[in-house]
Amino acid sequence: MAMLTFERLTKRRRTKHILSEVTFQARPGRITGFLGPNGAGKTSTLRILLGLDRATSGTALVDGRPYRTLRDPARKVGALLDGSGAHRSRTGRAHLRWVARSAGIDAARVEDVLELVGIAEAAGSRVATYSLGMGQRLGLATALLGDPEMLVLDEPVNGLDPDGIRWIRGFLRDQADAGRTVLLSSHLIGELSETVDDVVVIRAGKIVANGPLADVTTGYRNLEDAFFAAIGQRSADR
Amino acid sequence: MSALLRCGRIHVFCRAMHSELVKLWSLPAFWLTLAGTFGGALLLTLALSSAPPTGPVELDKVLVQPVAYAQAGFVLLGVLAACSEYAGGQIRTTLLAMPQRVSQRLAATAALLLLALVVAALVVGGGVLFGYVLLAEAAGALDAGLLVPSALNAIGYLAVLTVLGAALGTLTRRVLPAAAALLLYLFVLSPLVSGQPVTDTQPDTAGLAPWSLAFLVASIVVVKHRDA
Amino acid sequence: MRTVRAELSKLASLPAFWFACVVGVLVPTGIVLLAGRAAPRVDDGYQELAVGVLGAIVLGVIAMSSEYTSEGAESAGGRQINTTLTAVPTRGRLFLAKALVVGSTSFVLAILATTAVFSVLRLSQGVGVLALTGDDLARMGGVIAYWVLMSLLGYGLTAFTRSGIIPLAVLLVNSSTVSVSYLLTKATPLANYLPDLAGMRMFSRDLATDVELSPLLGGAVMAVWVAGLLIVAKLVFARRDA
Repeated sequence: MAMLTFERLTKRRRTKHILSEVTFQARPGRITGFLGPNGAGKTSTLRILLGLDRATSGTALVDGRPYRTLRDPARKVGALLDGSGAHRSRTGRAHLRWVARSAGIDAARVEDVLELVGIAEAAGSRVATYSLGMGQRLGLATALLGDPEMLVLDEPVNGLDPDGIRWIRGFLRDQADAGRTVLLSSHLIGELSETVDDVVVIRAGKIVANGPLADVTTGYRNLEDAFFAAIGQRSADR
Repeated sequence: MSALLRCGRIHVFCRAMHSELVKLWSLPAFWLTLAGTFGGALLLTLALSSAPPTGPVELDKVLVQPVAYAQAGFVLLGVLAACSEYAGGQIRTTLLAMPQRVSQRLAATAALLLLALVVAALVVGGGVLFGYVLLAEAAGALDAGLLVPSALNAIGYLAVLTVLGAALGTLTRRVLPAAAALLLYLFVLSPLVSGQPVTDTQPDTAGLAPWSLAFLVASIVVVKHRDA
Repeated sequence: MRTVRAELSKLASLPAFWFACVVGVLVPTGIVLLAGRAAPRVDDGYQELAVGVLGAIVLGVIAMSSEYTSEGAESAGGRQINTTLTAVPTRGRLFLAKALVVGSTSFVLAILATTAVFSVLRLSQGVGVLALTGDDLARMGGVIAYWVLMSLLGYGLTAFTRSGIIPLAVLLVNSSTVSVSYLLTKATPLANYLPDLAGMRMFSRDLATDVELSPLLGGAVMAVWVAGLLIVAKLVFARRDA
């Protein structure tokens, strides 16, 4: 089962607690929204899952295995973290080429994903000339290269235009409907409530709410009110 | 089963190495450094050859001196290759694609070493050939039995130096400190301590290799444990 | 004036700035201490300061290159130059303010380094080394001028390349005991008019080359090079998209 499992994940930097016993799951066929204010620990959690940072204790597993032990990560998990993740002086196409090469993916697939995310015309330009949104689309193209079973996206709508946002919403829905696992973090609550099936709310490194969207919002007008209640603040008009 | 597993591992490693080659190949800084090193070495050979040659000793110098300065190009090659990972967050993409860090670093080093050997062969070979043509009359005195080993030694030295540059770059993650430290050592401190100008020092491959290896191991250990 | 002060605080807050200062003072002083030569030579002290000039070069290079670096873990490609140019949109003024800061800090650094080197030399080799005759003072003035001009050379070159790496590598390699410029003099006498070699005439009395330039002429040649470079660099800096 293509499942992402976080089990009592804890991260400390010197004396600072970044994450405390973070526990939740992202399940196949569902879009899980990972919600929290800036600096709550969303990105740290995802970075540990993806083997970029180390946890002080606890585990974050992909299909029951640490990401670092995956033999063919590109086909298992597609990940997008802040920005394009590409060197400024390479072209978008050259960037995707080397990533494809590392996973043994055909070069034709590079053209496919360029087309898919809508930056085919800019593929021959250097990444330095890309706008924020184009960088984001390139990052997305990188994530999709291996046609992965699971998607882990950190603030995917960052910098995207309304067109892009609508496209990605539909795309993620299709992916989930096809039985894939989608985990996305965001601080844009309105955006999430339109998209997600499950909600996980993190505040100051601790999980404060976790469950299907309907359960989490029970007793509140909407996700936004539920969110502010969960993180212990009142929303402006309440 | 174990043979199959090993086969898979080798396959993954080859893929990673191929990917690292593509990565270097598509980096404009790689080509700029290459062009700068090659052009600089040829220009120096040209300049030195136009001085009136006075015998086989001078000829030897003409062929070796540009190599001394070409060191700078290879230091930059290594440092830039390593540090380009840390520009624009590319390191995330790299580690997501190749999460086993030790083998990722080994693949990157192997790819870099391969390219550095080719580039060094071009620079040294080109310089020797160019000097030979320019000094046609004096070239008769050239002893191939001496020249070939010393050229091979220079090629090996430059390639090993590139690996050292990459290891330092990986440790510092920034171009300027790594390049400045290594160049300062090679061109200023080392000649001062030994009392010999950089141009008179023969490339000491055997002396450099252990240092490169030590820094390479250190950089891999650090990368393995560092938060990317 | 406000721009100059802003540029000064920007430079002083870079760790590399303090590294440059340490290199500039400690390297030549350290070499003097370690060397401890038996027979005094005419270029004692000056030769070491000609290596220590690296500190001044680094200073000039980073003053410009720090505007353009986007290295570092998660800097998201944000380059300081955008902030700088929105704060001070008059580029010509900005360029001059930076040059002024580079020149004056390397001036101070050169005075410190010269004082340190000759104090150590005097302590280790006796009073005779430094009689402080008119010629000594002129040579010291020359070495300080050399440092200032070299730092501006690094600054101007970096304005072209926008990356510190090429100017630093070129100038560093050229500071080797046998500099490229010096080697080139063997091929063509014109190499004596390269900025670094010409500038060295201001303080060195021991350059074994065919062409002899007087200290004043050497300094003038170097100053012309630097002034020309800065003028062109200023034009490029003012016209180019950031």
